[in-house]
Amino acid sequence: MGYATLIDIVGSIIIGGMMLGIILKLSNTASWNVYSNSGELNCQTNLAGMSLMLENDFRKIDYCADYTNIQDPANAIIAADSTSIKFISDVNKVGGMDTIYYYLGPATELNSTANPRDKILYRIVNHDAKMGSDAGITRFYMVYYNAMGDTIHTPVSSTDLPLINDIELNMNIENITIDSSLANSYWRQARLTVPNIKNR
Amino acid sequence: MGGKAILFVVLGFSLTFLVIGQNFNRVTLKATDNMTNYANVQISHNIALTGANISCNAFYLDPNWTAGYSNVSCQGGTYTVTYQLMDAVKLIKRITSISTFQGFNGYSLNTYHDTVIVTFQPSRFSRYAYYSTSEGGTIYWATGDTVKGPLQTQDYLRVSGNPVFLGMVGTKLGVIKKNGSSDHPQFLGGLLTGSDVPINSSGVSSVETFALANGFEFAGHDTVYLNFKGDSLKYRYAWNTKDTTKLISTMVPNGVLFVKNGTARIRGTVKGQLTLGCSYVSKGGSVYLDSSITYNTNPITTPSSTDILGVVTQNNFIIEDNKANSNNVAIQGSIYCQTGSFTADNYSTRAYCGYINLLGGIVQATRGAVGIIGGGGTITNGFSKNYSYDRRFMFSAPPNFPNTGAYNVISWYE
Repeated sequence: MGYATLIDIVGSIIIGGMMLGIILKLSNTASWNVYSNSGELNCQTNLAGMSLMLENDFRKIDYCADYTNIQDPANAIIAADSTSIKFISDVNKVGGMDTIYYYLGPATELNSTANPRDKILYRIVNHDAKMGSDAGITRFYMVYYNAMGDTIHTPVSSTDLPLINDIELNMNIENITIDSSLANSYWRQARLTVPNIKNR
Repeated sequence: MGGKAILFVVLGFSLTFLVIGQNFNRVTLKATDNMTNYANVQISHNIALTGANISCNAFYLDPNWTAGYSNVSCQGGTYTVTYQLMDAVKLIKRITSISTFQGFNGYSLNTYHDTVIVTFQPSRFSRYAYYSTSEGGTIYWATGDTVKGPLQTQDYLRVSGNPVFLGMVGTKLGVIKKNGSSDHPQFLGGLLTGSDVPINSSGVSSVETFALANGFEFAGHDTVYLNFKGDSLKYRYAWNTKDTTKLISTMVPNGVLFVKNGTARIRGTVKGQLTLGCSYVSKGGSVYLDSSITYNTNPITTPSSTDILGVVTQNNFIIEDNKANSNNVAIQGSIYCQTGSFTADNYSTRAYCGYINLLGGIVQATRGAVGIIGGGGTITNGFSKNYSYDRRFMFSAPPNFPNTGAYNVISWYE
């Protein structure tokens, strides 16, 4: 075994080590990117799912499958604040009116998550147990407008509730990714028109 | 040997990059799929909405429209609209708009459907808190006036100061502000200028048709005195004769009572659903209010009240100048004056009589007066107004109350 063989072995170790290092680095970077992109994907998926649910519910305010049970549009929205709303709708399309209550819980409910700002958006139908969604929502707020497009101040007083004509919905979802960076998705339904409360 | 090793190295790296690339592609594709799926759902929804809105317009132009639409191209998809008569008696109609849209989601072409269902009912004049063909010259809606339900006038809507309109306001000719830009009327339910809803010139005759079918018609009497006593009706044909008493449900099965070619004088308490018509052929055609007429169950305190009254006159609805009406008067119902006005007898010469406490609506050809405002801005003769809208009229109507010829949406599902 001469110098040439020794140099071959040392060279192989160095080159092999470099290649191994490159592969490990590549694997590591790939994992980070996959997690990071997955975080973005989760954020976006949650946002799309939540917005579809909200649109579906809000468009049906005061709807009833049995038209004889339709309530006075002036009483369709029972309570409205910037982060909560209670209204009536025939949720399951069975001909009876249900009460739906959306509200955003406090951030302290989710102390165990990495994001200190995320909150649970609750949806309560009638007197059922509250159903919360921890989708990484950090902001959920509504703006109410009358028929002339003027903003109605929140919390909406009982005398102003019948004046609600359009609703602006805003939602922000965040997801803390593996490197502590923030995946952020924002959705706004600038003017959600509720057809059934326009009959006035 | 070295060549083979390099080949393995190249193959190994290629495989590694392929796996990593595949993962990246999967995440990217899912994100794109998510976005395109949301977009496709929205497009499908918009197509169904378009079909529904176009059908509503067709209904607006022709209330007898039943044709529907089949596979109409729209926004890269199609919509189909079907018509259905839900209730042949109440003329409840429904259109169902279904969209079909094909969009890529991932590698596959998916078909999306969405449905919008709109239910209509005939629009009746009783839904108006206030309606007029003519505003009677230059009467202004002024600061302090509040109209709590839908308002329609075929005239200009004249405003002064800051009157408040809580319901939808329609005016055929537009809005005139007495003081120009310093007037700020509050149209909190919306404003439609150019809105044309002519009064139903056959409103009274249609009520008579129903009275003859399964109601009751008084004919051949100059005056009919009607005293509503809940379930019963006391009536006579002269002030100094005795009353005849009958159970309303047997006398007027369909709830439509009619005085033909005469004058009706009314008072009392109404229970159930009733429409009183009064026609002019050669005389009469007006309804006089001898004393307050109210519901047996007040819908303000009991929202589930089913008592509903409509008064449909050819000419005028007049608050009689008598002792019973000298200190406030209550009217609960929707008043329809086809060619005349809602007014008070001797409104300019009678003493101040307090308030007209109206719960319902007024539909009149010409805006009538009920009082005179003195120099100090207060009512000196006749009545002050305290008009409230009975919100049940948004959905319910007195039996066979005149309709507008159009339909309004009562339910919208999307």
